[in-house]
Amino acid sequence: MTLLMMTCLVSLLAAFPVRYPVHCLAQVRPVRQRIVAAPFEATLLTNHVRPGDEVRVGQVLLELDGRPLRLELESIAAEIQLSEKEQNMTLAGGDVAGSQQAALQKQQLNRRRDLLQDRLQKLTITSPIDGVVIGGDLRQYIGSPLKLGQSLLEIAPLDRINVEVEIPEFEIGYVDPGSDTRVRFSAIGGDSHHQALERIYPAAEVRQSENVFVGEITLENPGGRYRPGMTGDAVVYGPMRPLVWSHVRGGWERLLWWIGY
Amino acid sequence: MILRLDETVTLRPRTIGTQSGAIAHHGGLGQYFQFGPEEAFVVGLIDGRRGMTELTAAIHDAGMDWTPEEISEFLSMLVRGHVLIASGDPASGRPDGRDAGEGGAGDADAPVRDDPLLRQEASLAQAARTRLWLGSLSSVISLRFPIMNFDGVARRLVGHVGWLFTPVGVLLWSMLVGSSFVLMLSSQDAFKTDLRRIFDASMWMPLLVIWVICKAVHETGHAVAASRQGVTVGKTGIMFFLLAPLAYVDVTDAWKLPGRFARVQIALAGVYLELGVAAVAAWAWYWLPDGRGQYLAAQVFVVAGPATILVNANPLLRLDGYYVLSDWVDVPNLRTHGRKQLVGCIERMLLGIKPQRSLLFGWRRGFATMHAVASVVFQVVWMSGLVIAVSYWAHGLGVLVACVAVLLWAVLPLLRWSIFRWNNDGSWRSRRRFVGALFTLFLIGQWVSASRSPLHRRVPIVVQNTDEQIARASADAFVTGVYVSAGDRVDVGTMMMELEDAELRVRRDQIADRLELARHRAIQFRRQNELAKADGEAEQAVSLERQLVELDGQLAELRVIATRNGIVTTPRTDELLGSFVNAGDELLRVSDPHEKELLVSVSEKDISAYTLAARRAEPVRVRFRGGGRIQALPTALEPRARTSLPHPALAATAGGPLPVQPGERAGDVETIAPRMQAVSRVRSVVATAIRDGQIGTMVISDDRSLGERLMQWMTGAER
Repeated sequence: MTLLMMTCLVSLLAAFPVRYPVHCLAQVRPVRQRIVAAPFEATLLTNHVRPGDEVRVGQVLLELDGRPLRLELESIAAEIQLSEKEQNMTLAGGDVAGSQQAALQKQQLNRRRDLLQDRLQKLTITSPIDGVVIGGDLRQYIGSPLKLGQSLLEIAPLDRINVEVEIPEFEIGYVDPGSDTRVRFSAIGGDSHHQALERIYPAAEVRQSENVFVGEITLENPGGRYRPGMTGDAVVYGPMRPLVWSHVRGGWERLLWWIGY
Repeated sequence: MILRLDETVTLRPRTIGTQSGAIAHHGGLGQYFQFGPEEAFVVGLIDGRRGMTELTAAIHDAGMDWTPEEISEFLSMLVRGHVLIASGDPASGRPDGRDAGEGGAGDADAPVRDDPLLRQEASLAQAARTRLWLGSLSSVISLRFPIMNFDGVARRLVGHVGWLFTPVGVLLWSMLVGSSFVLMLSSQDAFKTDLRRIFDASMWMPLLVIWVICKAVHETGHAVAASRQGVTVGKTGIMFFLLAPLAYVDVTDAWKLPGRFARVQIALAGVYLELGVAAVAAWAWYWLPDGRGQYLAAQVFVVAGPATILVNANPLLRLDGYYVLSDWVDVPNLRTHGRKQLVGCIERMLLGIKPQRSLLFGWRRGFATMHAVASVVFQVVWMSGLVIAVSYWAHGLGVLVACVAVLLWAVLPLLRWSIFRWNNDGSWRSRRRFVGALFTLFLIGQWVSASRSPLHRRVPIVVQNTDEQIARASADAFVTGVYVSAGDRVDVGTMMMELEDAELRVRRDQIADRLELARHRAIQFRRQNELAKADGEAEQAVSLERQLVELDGQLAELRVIATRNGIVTTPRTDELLGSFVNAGDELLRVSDPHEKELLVSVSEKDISAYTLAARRAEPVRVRFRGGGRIQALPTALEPRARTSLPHPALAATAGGPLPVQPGERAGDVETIAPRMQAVSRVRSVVATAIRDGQIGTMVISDDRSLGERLMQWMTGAER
């Protein structure tokens, strides 16, 4: 009798309906992020910010060395003057064709000059947005040449952050936008954060050797507790399923896949 | 003939279930025999005064319903084990030991023919010769080299590591193993990465060394646990099973112990110590920095942990787990009993032979049979795998060992059984039935192996968007404008992004200037009647014009335009603003969520089956990983096989089904063998329910026979 009662109790417990938990990896990312890149090849002259600094839009971040540009500009200016003289002389001599050639050469030099002047205006690099410098300590690079397009700084506002939830591909059938999600970052401790999953990116991507769908939730970040790049655990709750099934299903699915089913 | 036990045999009572059994120790051979309740009773009746007739009468008087054949078979088994000695009655004076009263006077052959025991005795000499050459063959696959008596070492080790078997030791062990179990569960994804390295050819030698050390620890565990219980430990040495070196230690004296817990403790001591080693290795793997030390720790964990549980603790192999189970359920010689019952069932079905009466009672009878079925199935698979694996080792030597293994494990047992069944009854009626059964079995086997496999083939698939626009950067440039975000609907011609390449623009203007200059010069030279120079300038102008067209095209492509109607699927497009992109970098993807297709990746061995499925043009089942199912129509394969990875999600390194290897370019991977591709469209209704990047399998009919499929599976060509 006792055995029967125990069996019934265990069966009831096993069949007890619970929300199916999908265990995922969570990663903090900024809501908006802008990368400041080197606008052309130049030498880094000064650096005004360090990671963690708060910056405003238009605030000067870096200065590049403009001396080579200015030298080249002077040289081009001299060539432009020569071209003007040549144009005038050939015109005075009645050589219309020669005059036109000199004019065209001057036009080419003017274009080069405009480019250099444009670059000279970009020697001072400013922040494109309000935010915090989250990456790029350039103190070690002062005086070193920068390549065209080289990423220098990452700037992002941190008053709100996105949490990317990496949903294993084989669990996507149990997850929808709006699913209740629990997120916890062991690095900062504290209680878990419950929130509905806001969106799921339409395509799977391979992250850390696993094919995952990325879902996203946005969290307020007072005091900057959540930092971009921080990883934690997330559980996305799916539909109601028996308790045993909820715990066995993941392993069962891995086993089926492993044997080729 | 008088029956008596060997002088060095001692009997000890042993409680089995609710009934008393016995255990016999052969002092001369150092072997133990377990007897069930009835067997123990029969052995107890052998007092050195009874002959076969008296013993049979005594058994029947005791109310046991053993037939003379069963009695003779049991006694023959004792004779073969050198436990029982059948000697001639001094009073009869017959040197062959036959009891004059058992056979009938005047006919010397009659007793041999009629008395089953004597008939068995007559075949003993033949059996001994057979065992001799069988033993020689067995040594090819399993060879023992005793090295030293381990009892003294084990006693000294008890002082050092004997505390591991105390309650405190068990508590610490439980905490260590439990914590490592939780650790490995929580770190399983990271562990998988290191696990793959184990199968690198460069790691095989360390793996072999680790294997030998772990097995030495395992045997030491048995020895220490036995010595701690006061059991004399026998010799230790090294044995080669299928060429693999293994340590062994003789603790058979453990059977003397009356307490079951003590016996189980000794039997499990090896697994106990190995799991402790695995737990330490797990923590070492967790704490060690990336590198060789971490890989070695992962190897130790696999060998001492999961591999030990799979092999040593497995009750279906006659190793530690089996002996514990046998002791636990109180069925001595569980395997012998179970297989005897299983063979009896098969013989009753095939040959109509009444099975011998089982010596087991109650639930133990069914349990033994079920265990036999499970162990036979498992061992067929296990041993077949081992034999196939061994045949690839050591060039020709592996093949020789594999042949001997097949001979010993399959051919000879079947041959002996066939000869026994052929000669057993002697009547042509039973022989005809025997031949008929064998012929029927052969036909069934032939039909099953030659008929088309009812099992399906599964071909990997991945979902992708149909005619997806993947916009890439046409030049190295800065992103100066992003006008769409993920989920936005765009039409053909919609500008989605703008790039800026100042150098390219200046270069284009300079080319335009040079073009104008070349045209002017051509006109000037023509006016001066320098026609050759004029033609040269004109040709240069044409060349510059072509360059200008190219550059204009590149500049135009800096405006990223939608080439199809659809939805932008690239997330976080705004992060591209202000960033620098290189020529060829992916910028945006546009597709229609109602238009999806399945990319089917077909291996060379599946080509014929897939082609047949495509020709049939019937919908087949597709199962996605995770359980979703749809129907899809297989389409014709593309003409060319390739090793390029069809989709990143299909790579084994991302959890997919395709084995991959590093490609020619750094960071690239490619499939190990060339694969064909096909694309199957799915209906719009279905397309909305599946997602880009989902992987699964397409289920197609198999065109192989079952035998062919089984062989491919055994040789590893199946997957």
